Amino acid sequence: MLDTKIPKGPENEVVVSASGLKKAYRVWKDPSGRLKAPLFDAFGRLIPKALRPKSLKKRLSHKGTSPYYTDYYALKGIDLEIKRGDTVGIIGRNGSGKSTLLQILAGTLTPTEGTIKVKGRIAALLELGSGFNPEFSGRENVYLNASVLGLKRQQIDSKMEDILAFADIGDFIDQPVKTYSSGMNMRLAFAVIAHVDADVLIVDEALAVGDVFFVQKCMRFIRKFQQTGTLIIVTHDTGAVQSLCKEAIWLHQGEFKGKGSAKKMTELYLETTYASKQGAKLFEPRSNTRLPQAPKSQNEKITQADQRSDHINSGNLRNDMKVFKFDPDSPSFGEKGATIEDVLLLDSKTNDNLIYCVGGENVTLEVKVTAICDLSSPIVGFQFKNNYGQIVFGDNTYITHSDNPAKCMAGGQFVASFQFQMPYLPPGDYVITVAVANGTQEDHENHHWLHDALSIKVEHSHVCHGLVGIPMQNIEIRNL
Amino acid sequence: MLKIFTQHRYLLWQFTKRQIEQRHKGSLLGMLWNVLHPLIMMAIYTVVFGLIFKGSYQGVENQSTLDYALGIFLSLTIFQMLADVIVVSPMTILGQPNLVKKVVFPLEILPLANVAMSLYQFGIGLVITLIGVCTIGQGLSIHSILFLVAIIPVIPLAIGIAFLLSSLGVFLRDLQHLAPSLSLILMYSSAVFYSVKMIPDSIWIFVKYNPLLHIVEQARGTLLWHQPLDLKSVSYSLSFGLVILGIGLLSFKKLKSEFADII
Repeated sequence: MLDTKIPKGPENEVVVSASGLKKAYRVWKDPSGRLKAPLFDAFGRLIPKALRPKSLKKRLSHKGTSPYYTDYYALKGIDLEIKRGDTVGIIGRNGSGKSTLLQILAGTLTPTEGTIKVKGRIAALLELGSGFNPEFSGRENVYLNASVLGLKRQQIDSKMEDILAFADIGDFIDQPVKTYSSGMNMRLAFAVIAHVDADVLIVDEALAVGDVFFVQKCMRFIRKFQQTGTLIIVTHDTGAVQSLCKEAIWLHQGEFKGKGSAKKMTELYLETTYASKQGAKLFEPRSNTRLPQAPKSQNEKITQADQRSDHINSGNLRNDMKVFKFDPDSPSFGEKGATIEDVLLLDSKTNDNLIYCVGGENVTLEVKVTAICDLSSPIVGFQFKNNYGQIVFGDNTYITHSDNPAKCMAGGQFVASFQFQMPYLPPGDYVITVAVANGTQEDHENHHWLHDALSIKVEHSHVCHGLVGIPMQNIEIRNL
Repeated sequence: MLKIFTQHRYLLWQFTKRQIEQRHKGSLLGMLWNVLHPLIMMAIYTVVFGLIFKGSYQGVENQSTLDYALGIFLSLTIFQMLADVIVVSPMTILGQPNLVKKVVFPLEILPLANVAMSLYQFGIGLVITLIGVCTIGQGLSIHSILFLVAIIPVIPLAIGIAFLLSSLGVFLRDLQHLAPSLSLILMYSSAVFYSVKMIPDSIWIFVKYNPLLHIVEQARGTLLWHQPLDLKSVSYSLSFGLVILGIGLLSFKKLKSEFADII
C-alpha cells in the first residue's frame, strides 16, 4: 500500500551532526530597547578601538548582558550525531529545549552559536499542515509543499495519485485548504511528507491526533520508514519513545543530560522527573528493612477476576469498551487465496454479538473465512494494537492445529474462534488486525491481511500504568 | 536571488498568480478592477489638477486636456508600481508567520511575488497608455521605443525596496504605518501632475535626488511628446535603483536568519 522508496546510502554514515549548538532568545526589558541597543552599538563602534572606555568594550563584545536585554538560553551547547537508519527519541520536560532543537535541525531556526550539518533531504512534521497556505487548494498546497522540499514538478506529478490515496480526502483536494477540517488538513500534510522520499524525518508530538485508522496508517508508514530512513522523534510520551526508538537523547533545561538506549534513558528521565516533583529519589533500595512477604497462593486454580472487579464495575472506572462493526474495506493485502468475510466479538457465555464489552469479561473473537483456492493448512491470527500500532497481544491457530491441519477446499468456509479474557485496557483507540495465511509459523503465505478489521474505543479505565492491566488477585496494606 | 529564479520558479509563479487572484476575489467585476481603478484615479486627478487648477505640463506644444490626462495616467501607472511595493512590503514577511516558523521556505519569494504582482498591474497600465497614445494622443514615433529604456530603472528600484522594507518591517513594525505617508510624499515629489521645468529652484535642490521623478519625466517625454531621451537622468535613476537593490538584498540576507526569532 505504501510504496515509498527511501534512498539508501552507506550504513553508519553520519547524516545529522551538530556541535556546540546554542540558542539564545533575547528578552527585552523595554520595547524601546530594541531600537536603542542597535543604535548604541552602531555609534559605539564608530569610536576607534583604542579610545573605547572599558564598559563600552564589554558591551560591544556581546558577552555580558546589556542594560537593555538579557539573553535566555534555550539550548546551552548541544552536541549531536545521528547515523543513517537510526531512530532517535529526544525526551525532556516542557521547556527543556526539545522543540528548539528540532526547529534548528529542521532549519526553521538558526542557532546563535554552533554548527549543524544535515545530509540529504530533511522533512519535518512540526505541527502538521501548518505550512499550508489556507487560500490555496489542497492540490496546489501539495505542489507548494513538495517543491519547497525540493521535488521537481514531474516528480510530484508522478506521486500525486499515491498522495491523494494516502490522504483520502476525496474531492476536497480541489477546495481551498481553509475549508478543510483539522483532520483533513493533517492527513494531507502527512501524505505529502510520506511521499517526498526524505532521508531524515522529524516528528514532533503531532502523531497523537487523528482518528484511529489514520493513526494506524501513519504508524505503519513510520515503522516502514524506520527500516531505511533516519527518524527523530520528540515527545514526552516515554511509551512512544520506547516503542519506536532504539536510542534516546535526554535534554534538561537546554542541557544535554545523556544519550543511551531508549529504555535506559526513559527510565532515568522518569525517575528524575518524579523525583523533582516529589522532592526525593524514588525506588531507592533499602536493604535493612524487610519487605512483607507476598502471600503464597493456596491453590493452583487460576482466579481470573480482579479482586476489585465488583467495586470497579459499579463505579465510573468500569473498563467499558465500545466495539465498532467489522470493516471489510479496511486497508488489506495478501494473495487473496482466501478472504476474511466477517470478524465478530462475542460474549463467551451467550454467544451474543457484542457492541460493548467490559475489561475482564470472557469474550470470543470469531473470524469467518472463505477459501478461494485450496488451503492445505490454514492459519488464522489476530493482533490487538493500540494507538501507536504496538501489538498489545495477539495469537494464532497454528499450534492448536499443527498436528491436524484444518484443510479447506476451494469454495469452503470455516470459522476460527479465540476465546479469551479481555484484558483491562487503558483509555484509547484500539484495532484488531486479522489475517489468514497458509503454511507454518515459519513459512507461510499471507492470503488476506486486514489491518483494521475491528476497532475498539476504551473510554474509562482503572489502569493507569502499562499497556494492559492484568487481574489483580489480591491487593492490601497490612500493619506490621 | 538568482537561485529563486532557477529553482523556485514554480513557487514564485504560484504565489504571484494567487496574489493577483486574491486581490479581486469575490468581487463582481473581478479583474476589470485592474483597469477601472487607474482610470478612476486618472479622472479624479485630471478634473482636480487639469480643469480646476488649470494645470498642464510645461514645455509641450499644442497640449490638450486629453494629453494632460494621458500624461497623468502614465505617471500614475509608474508611480503606482513603486507605491504598491512600498505599502505592501513591510507586512509581507510579518503576514506569513507559518512560512517563516513552521517550514523551511525560500522567503525571498514573498517580496519577489509582490514586485511581480505590481509589474502585472504596471503592464496593464502601459497597455492602456499605449492604446490612449494611438487613439487620442499624438501617436508613436522612434522616441517611443526609447521609452522602454526610460522605465527600466523602476525594476531594480522596486525589487530593492521590496527586499529592504520587507526585511526591516519585521523588526520595525512602525514601518507599516509610515509606508502610506512615504508613498504620498513620493507621489507629490515625483512630477506626476507637473513637469520638471515647473519646479522652483528652492525645491529642485531637494527633489532632484528622487529617482522616480527622473523616470516619470523621461517616460512621459519619450512616449507622449516625442522628446529625446536624457541619458544622464536615466543613468542616474538606474544606478540609484541598483544601489537600492544591493542594499535591499544585503539587508534581507543579513536579517533573514533572525525572522523566526522575532515573529
